Amino acid sequence: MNILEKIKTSITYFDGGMGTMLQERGLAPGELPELWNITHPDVIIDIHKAYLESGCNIITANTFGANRLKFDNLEEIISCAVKNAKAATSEFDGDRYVAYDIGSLGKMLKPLGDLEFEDAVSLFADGIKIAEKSGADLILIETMNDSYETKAAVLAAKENSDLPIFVTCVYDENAKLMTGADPAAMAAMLEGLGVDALGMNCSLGPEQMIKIVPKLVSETSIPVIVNPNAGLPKSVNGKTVYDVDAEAFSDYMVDIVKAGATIIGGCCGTTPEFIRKTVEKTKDLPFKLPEKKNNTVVSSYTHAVKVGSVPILIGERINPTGKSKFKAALRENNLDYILNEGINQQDAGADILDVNVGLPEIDEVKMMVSVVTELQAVSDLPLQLDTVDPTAMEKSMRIYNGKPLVNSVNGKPESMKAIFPLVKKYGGVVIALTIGTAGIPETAEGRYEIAKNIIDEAEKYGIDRCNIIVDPLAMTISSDIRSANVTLESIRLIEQRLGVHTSLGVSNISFGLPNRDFVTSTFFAIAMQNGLDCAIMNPFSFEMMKIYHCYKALRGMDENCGEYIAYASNITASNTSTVTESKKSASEDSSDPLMHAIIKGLKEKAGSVAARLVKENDPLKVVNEQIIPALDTVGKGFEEKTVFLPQLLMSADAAKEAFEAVKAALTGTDQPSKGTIILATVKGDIHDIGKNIVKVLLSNYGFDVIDLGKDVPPETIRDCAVENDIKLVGLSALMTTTVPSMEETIKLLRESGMGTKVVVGGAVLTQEYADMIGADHYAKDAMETVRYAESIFEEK
Amino acid sequence: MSDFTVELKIAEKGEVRTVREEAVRYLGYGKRSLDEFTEKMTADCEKELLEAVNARCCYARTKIEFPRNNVVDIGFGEIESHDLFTHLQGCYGAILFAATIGIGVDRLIAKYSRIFPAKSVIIDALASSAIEYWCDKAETEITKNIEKHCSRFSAGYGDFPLSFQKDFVNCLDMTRKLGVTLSDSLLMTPTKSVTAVIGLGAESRTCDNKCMRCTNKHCIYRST
Repeated sequence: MNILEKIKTSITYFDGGMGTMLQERGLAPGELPELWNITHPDVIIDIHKAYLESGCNIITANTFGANRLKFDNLEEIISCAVKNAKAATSEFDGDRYVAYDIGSLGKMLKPLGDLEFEDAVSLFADGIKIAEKSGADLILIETMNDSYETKAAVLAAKENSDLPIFVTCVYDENAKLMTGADPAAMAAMLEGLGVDALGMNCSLGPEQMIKIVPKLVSETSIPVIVNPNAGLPKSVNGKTVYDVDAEAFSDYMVDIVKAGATIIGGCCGTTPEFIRKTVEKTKDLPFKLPEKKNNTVVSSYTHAVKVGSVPILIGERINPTGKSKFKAALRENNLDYILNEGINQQDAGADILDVNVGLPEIDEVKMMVSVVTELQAVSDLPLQLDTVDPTAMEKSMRIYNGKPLVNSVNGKPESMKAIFPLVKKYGGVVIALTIGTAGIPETAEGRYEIAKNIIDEAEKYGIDRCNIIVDPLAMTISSDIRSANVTLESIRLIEQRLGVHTSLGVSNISFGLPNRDFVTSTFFAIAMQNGLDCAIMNPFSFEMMKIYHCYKALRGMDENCGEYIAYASNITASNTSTVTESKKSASEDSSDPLMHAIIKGLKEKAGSVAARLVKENDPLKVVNEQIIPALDTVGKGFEEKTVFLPQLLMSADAAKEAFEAVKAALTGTDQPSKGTIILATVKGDIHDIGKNIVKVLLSNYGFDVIDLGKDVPPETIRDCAVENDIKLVGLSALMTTTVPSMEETIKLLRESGMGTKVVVGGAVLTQEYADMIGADHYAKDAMETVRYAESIFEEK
Repeated sequence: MSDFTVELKIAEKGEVRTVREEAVRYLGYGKRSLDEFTEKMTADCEKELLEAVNARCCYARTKIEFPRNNVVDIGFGEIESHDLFTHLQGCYGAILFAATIGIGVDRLIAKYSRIFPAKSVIIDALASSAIEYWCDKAETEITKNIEKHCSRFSAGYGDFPLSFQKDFVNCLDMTRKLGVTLSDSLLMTPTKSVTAVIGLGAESRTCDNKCMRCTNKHCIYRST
């Protein structure tokens, strides 16, 4: 019987711990156990055989840490490991399998760590190819702490072998991975990727895992794996002792099977004895796979969002359409602005963020990848990937840390042909627009037909209808007064006849009308009442959020009206009309209100006062007579140690708001820029807080900053400097170990013959270091960098 | 071969806290106090930070020997370091120790550095104080039945080579137990993580003031 049939028909047993058994036989601390595949094959085979004798079906080859980062002789290690395992299984009858065992690479992926997602995929791929060639029966990706690394491993497995894929992660007692994911999030992502079984191992003993098993079983439709530790390790009289023995372990395992796990075994501290007793006690228990769930669910790196019970808000603001500021941000590669839009929508109550960064003049594929990468590092909301470019869609689905919402497919054959294979490969819930070859049908019946056609077609690709959300399209009532009715009727028809969920970009309904929010929000209420599950909408709209909270309270979706009360208690009379002009600032107690606002770090006030001032005055005068002097006051205070870093940054932020107002007034004319400076944290260094502080200050002193980020190779910095004819480069490093790459960068810049000046800073830097590596200037803090920059650009 | 057990400790909710005075010092205030506005912002940051904290530590005891001058043998490898050698004089063994307050803190700092830089520096400073607090607390507990021990000595202090981080990560199984990984340039992620050697059997003579252990004499945070 092959392994996939086996796990669908009876309880399947994994082996137990390898590490502890190897230590008993002389493996030294810090010694790499994988080397024993070559040096002590007899020991490894013996251990495998002991497990097989205890009744397990799957033995894990001794390859947990085998990757190219640790071993140059990877081929030899893995092929020996698989050979040893097969030598053991060949001596046993019955259903016995060899798993190629994959553990963490021990590196954190970017942007929090320094490993590229694609590099992780290729590191995993190297081992997988060898393992398949060597004859492994399945791939076990185990002891995973991080959903993102897990995804890289699964993709590598899918792309480089046909072997079944099992995945187990490490949950803590709160049922979370160390990087945040809960069982529902992991189940959504892994099932979306098409793995064959999923579950947990390591860290906890069986007693703690019992509580987590139902959380997995209730979220997945595939077999659940549970491989606990023998409790926790303790050192007693210099010997490692785990606090759960084989008897107790196997008793717990009975409950774990009863809770719904069908693939079981052990992890650290367990021995053949644990497995033998577990097999004895569980082999005759009833075998029951998890039920098929049919949930429509997307996920982020922390949690899953299930569509259906409560209306889901999809924030629409990360989209350049009709937003000149957003377009400018895209053109200037200003990710901060875009990330802000995301985080603010989350704070405003969005459940999912739509990401659309399409603009003809930019490289959408590249932009989509960087926005998704950065956004998912700072926001834990699931993302809706919104692009018409299939390459941008594929690239962003690939690097997305979870199961995305995909926006969109439509009823045209070419669209389905482009999108469905991606959904099948990477997992996702796809928004299906009821647009056919002949356009958008005018009737609900016509839109239903297209929806049905899309669902039928998806099925051919193996995509279940629960992974499709139909958008029957809201069209403005200003051009056709029947259009809202058709859309509402379509929602009802599609949900009743096809049993799928629906979504709408609700704001289209009011296009061309004044005070659009009035119409849009009313339509939103009616649509929800007709069964609408998701709305792509503006979470900053007062009217929309009001309707949403009221609707939930009225329809019994808000226990004790708790959410409504929390929301409405903060609404004051002045909030309740969005059409009034923004009010004048409350306390303009200073003769120079803008200077005052900046010095005090009052961001909103600085923005609104500046906006007012530039209407009445020459914008450049506002800059030179208010903003710059205010910044100077703060800067001097910082140098004299009467103002400290947090205040300095608050003031810088306030000045930024003021500058924005000035910029808006200057559109079309020359913008005040003192010069362009490159900033980078050098290669090898992933600490960027200092560099970010310098960036904030420089940009608010009127410099344009090209921020190359952290861990930047010397060549990138040089190329950028040459390309943009840069006069000044600022380099940051936190650790002594990365100072050499600072030196290397300076050397390259010198060789380019551009005469670019280099200012360096960072925790380990000193004047001596700076001199040693040939920097032009050492700045002990951010203010000093500003002063130096001013001196450089004044010289000209 | 002596037994080598890596024990894991996971902090309870609320067990880790920040040390305001330390954080304020990291922010450059020295001994001056915060203004009212920054004080309030710091309190908000503190709340958010503690929500994001997921603190763990792991440790193992090992024998140590001093085979040659300036060389410490920690049972499974030799470290050449004059400063560590001096620090551990008189010790019969050591605890290898690693701790973290989790990747959620990195995310929080990254988030605010994008939208509210002042908060990101405050949280960064508070987080530095929190990891120190957690290390102190864990160290006290781990060493409570040990008569004499030295304070923590980390790779990177003095001439204790940073390259030893690799051995820490391997032998303490830090990726699996703590979720701590090492970059190519030997920096740990989560960034608020610490590794250290705690000598057993003697009280070190070099370690009363943490700043004094550091060779960076010009550091603006140097306390004296």
